Amino acid sequence: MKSTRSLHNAVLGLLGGLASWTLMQSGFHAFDALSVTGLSGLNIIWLNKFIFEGALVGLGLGMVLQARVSLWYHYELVHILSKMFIGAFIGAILGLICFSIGELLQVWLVLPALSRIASWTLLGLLLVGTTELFHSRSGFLRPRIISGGIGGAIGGGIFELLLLYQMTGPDHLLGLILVGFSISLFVGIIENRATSFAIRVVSGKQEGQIFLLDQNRFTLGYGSQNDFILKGYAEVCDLHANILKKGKEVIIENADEGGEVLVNYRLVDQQSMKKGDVIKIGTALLQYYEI
Amino acid sequence: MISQIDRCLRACVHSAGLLIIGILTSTSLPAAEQVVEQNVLIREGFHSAFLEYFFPQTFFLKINETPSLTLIESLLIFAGVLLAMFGLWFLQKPKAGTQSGVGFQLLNLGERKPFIPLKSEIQTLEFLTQIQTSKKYRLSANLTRVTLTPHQNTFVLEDKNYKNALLINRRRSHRTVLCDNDVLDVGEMILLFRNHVVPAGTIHRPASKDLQLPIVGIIPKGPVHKMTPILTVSGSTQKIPLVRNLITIGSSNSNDIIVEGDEVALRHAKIYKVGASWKIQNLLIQETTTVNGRRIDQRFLQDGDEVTVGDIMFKFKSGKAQIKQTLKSKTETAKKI
Repeated sequence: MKSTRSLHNAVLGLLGGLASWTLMQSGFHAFDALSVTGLSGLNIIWLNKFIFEGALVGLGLGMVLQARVSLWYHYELVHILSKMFIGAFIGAILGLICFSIGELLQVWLVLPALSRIASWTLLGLLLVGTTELFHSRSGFLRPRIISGGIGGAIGGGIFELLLLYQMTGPDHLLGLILVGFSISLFVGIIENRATSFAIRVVSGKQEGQIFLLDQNRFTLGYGSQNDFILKGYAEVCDLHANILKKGKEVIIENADEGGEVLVNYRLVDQQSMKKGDVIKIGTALLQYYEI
Repeated sequence: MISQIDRCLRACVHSAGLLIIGILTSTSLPAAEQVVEQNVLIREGFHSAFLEYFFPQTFFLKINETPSLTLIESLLIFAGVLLAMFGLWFLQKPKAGTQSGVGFQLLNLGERKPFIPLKSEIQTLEFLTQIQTSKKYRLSANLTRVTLTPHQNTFVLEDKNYKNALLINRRRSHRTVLCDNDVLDVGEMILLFRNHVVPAGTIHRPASKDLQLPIVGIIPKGPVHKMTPILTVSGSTQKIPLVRNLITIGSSNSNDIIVEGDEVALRHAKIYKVGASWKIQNLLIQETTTVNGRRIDQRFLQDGDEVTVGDIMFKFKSGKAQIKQTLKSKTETAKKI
């Protein structure tokens, strides 16, 4: 299951790189069209090409990275689309910022290659960081952001190498794809390292779905702000239960007084779980196990 | 973990390959660098001195002035990327409801063929030993004495041995009418009963709260005499026959009736036989034992008395009263006739 998720992440990274490349291609056509219309005022600085590039790269990568978790857990289409839009918007802004910083570094006479790698690293850090901003409760913020940075740095390094040996394909296609790939792969590796427990849905509409416990704190319920969303079950509250990881113990906690959490068919308020336990939340039956 | 290491190794091999290519073509390397510098560090005309200072025209990615794709092509590829993303989304769709009909589903992790269909005939759970599983599970010993009998649309599971480590919904049970999503533990094997016709909750079971009381009573050897008085745990169907002449109640394991409650002392109270009647005595002066709501030190028990020990309530039912009642009913019926 874990390696499948790594693969999923890596493929999504590749797609993100490809998306940013195609966006860049179409963006330059749009840029040309704008310059033809004679809006020279816009043309001078804000639509200058490097800013454009940064925004488009950020847009493509951010769109994919933000929707990563929702795609993996097969949430509803509307949910994923909204995540993608938010990700694209924030990613575009971050791309602008990171690439501008890279340019400024060049002004301060840092080697062009180094400043490029620095801006890729920064982009990786910030992209993953903002993705996690929406999960600030998770308690797993720092390792993920750092892994995003490492991914960005390695991706940037590969990009430079490809540039040096002129193997980047048409218009840096290969380089962009590899940057996306390495960012999402590293985040995935860090997540997998932290995963040793999982919860499987055993009954009902979401049967067969596996929630991997890769953070220190999770929320469970039918609301779309939750980490694990249970849709299509009766008697499940908006925010029904919290799952906390303390050392080697995983604790389930009832979060709503109106709802009931049963572990092994016993009502609990707070209970540490062990392998094979059956959890009942509303009418949904879940099973807890170690990987 | 192994897959990750594998992937990392592959990445290392690839980068080493890249380096080797670089060394082999080292003669052309300076030329390549020149080309890169030309490509990347081209300085074009600028708009003003200020702009040139702060934003030199050294683009990161220096896409050619004429992009290699037309607008339509690039948009098409972008749409293809989006489609591929939703293809991934579709692949992740949980495969629900693939099995229909009555049967057991293996909940143990990593089972390839988890569904075991059931024939509608009387059968024992013996068939579980013949199922091919990826791992060898320890099963209960006397599975031949556990029978599955068809009952209306579902099955009745009857455990005639009762010493088996067989749990239904994580509880020991003698006879249960199975409904959808019941969890069975047969030794190490975890089974989920599937029957869409009888959804969970349609069959009345004693509420789970009742069974939550962790009370261990005396288990009588053999049948209980009619005269034996019975303590019934309040809010539950659990019955404790008083088969000895002296019975102690408390939270310690040495008691005859072990009650785990917040206000129950280690040795809290005792019930003993005095002649033909029964007497209850509080053993600790700082703890409370009440009969019919009154705190007592010692007192004779009568039929229907409500006894509380700490925070747990029992109902006392003497054997004699039962006999009297049956006699009464007999005489009444005789009179009617």
